[in-house]
Amino acid sequence: MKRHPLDVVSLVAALIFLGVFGIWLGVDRGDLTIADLGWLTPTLLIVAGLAGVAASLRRR
Amino acid sequence: MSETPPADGGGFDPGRLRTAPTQMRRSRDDRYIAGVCGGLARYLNVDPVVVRVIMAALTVIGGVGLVLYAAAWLLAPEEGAEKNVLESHLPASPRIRALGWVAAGVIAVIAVVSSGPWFDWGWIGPLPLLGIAVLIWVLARPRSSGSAEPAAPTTPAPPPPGTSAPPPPTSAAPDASAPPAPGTSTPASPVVAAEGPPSDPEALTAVVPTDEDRTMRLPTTRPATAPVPAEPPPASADPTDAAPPEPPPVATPTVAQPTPPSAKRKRFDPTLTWLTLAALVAVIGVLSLIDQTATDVSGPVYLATSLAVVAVGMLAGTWWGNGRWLIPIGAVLTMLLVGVSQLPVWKFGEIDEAPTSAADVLPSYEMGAGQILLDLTRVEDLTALDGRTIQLENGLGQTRVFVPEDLDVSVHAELNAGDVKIFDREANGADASTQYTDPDDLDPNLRLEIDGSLGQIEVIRR
Repeated sequence: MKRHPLDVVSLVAALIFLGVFGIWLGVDRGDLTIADLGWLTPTLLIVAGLAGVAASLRRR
Repeated sequence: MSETPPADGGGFDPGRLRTAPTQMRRSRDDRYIAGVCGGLARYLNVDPVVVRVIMAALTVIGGVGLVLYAAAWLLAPEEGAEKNVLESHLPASPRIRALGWVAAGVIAVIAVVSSGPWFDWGWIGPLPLLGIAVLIWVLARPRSSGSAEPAAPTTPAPPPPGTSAPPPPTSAAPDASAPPAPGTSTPASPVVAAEGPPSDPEALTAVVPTDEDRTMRLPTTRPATAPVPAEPPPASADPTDAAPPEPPPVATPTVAQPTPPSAKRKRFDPTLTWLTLAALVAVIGVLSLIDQTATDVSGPVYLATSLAVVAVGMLAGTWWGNGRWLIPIGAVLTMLLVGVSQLPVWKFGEIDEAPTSAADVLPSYEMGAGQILLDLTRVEDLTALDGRTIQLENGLGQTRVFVPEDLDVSVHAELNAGDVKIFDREANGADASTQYTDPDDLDPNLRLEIDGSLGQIEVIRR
């Protein structure tokens, strides 16, 4: 496995999956309620999306 | 007027959907608002009515149609124009269109996700995620990871201007202006060729998903397609645009298969994928060991932990190796996790109880997926139930409670989707909930709280 330039696709997908895991953990531990998903899910997408945009800009 | 499809015949070519965001032009003569639908229809060679209907349908889905329309308005130049609306106000940059489509895609996804009652419909929740999964899946398909390297060698592929004369026959009518096209538009074609054909067989219905795909994929495509602005403008736009998808099939056989295919094959290094999957297997093994020896490990924990492993693998793939094949795995795990999280407990099967004394009546009955049958008609000391509350929760399936004549109940039943029937009161559909209270008299009072995600709730008196 060689090091390669930052792969935006992997980054965005990884962030989303990590976020889903984090949200699940929060709900499972009782720190979050189901109602929190209403703003957490869009926030997760926004963060992952912006990270993707930033990463692809920086790559150039 | 809106009935006239472009003259170049050939019919609808799904492959053009991929290039539409960068290549389409807004129509000048066939327009209601900004000529987006008319222009797209012309570019795709379909009836404008079809495009308008689809756009209208998308508008109903969380306003996605509006978002895409607005994006196309800003990002697609008019017929005959070189610059789009944004570019004519800002310094020209090839990034603007790509970024614009990415932004539109993100907004569209958010619009879908946050529209309507998604979050209350536990079981519908996975749908937006499914959409995201499809997006990511398409994004993840090979070709772009090292875009700079493969794109460069590919470009020389269709050079022989002599050989590229035959392209038109395939689909586009032999247009006089076609021959010069291959030369001018070559930079764009290899990219399209790289993966245009395989997915072509998709039907018209593919419009919706593909639309979003592209928006997200564009940025990666960008470096190779950079010369877009340089494209030939007005009337000739049609024939020229027709050319890009064509040349590859013809060109590849003639020019031999030197660089492109082999380069592509070498690029995929499965090490990271296997490494992650192996780690996943090990982690699952450890979890089940814990399950057997120490504490119970429930299904969601397995799924969530697996998801975390996959996510870490992908994070590594951001810099080392290629972890894109983990995306579909992560997407499936995500959907399963979301689905399974709807279950109140990790328990399946049937609860069938007919207690004979109030002491045997439990304060709560819970089932993950299955059936709950609670028969209270055999309870002999009903007065002992007075003032008590019974909670019943069943994630997926049927919940039935039988109540004797001489017991007064007040029932609150809530179901995310399904049928609720309390005596002769009925509710069904999404967010079905019903409240019922017996008229107050001397009979003992019992409170029933019944919850579920999907299925049926029934309270019957007998």
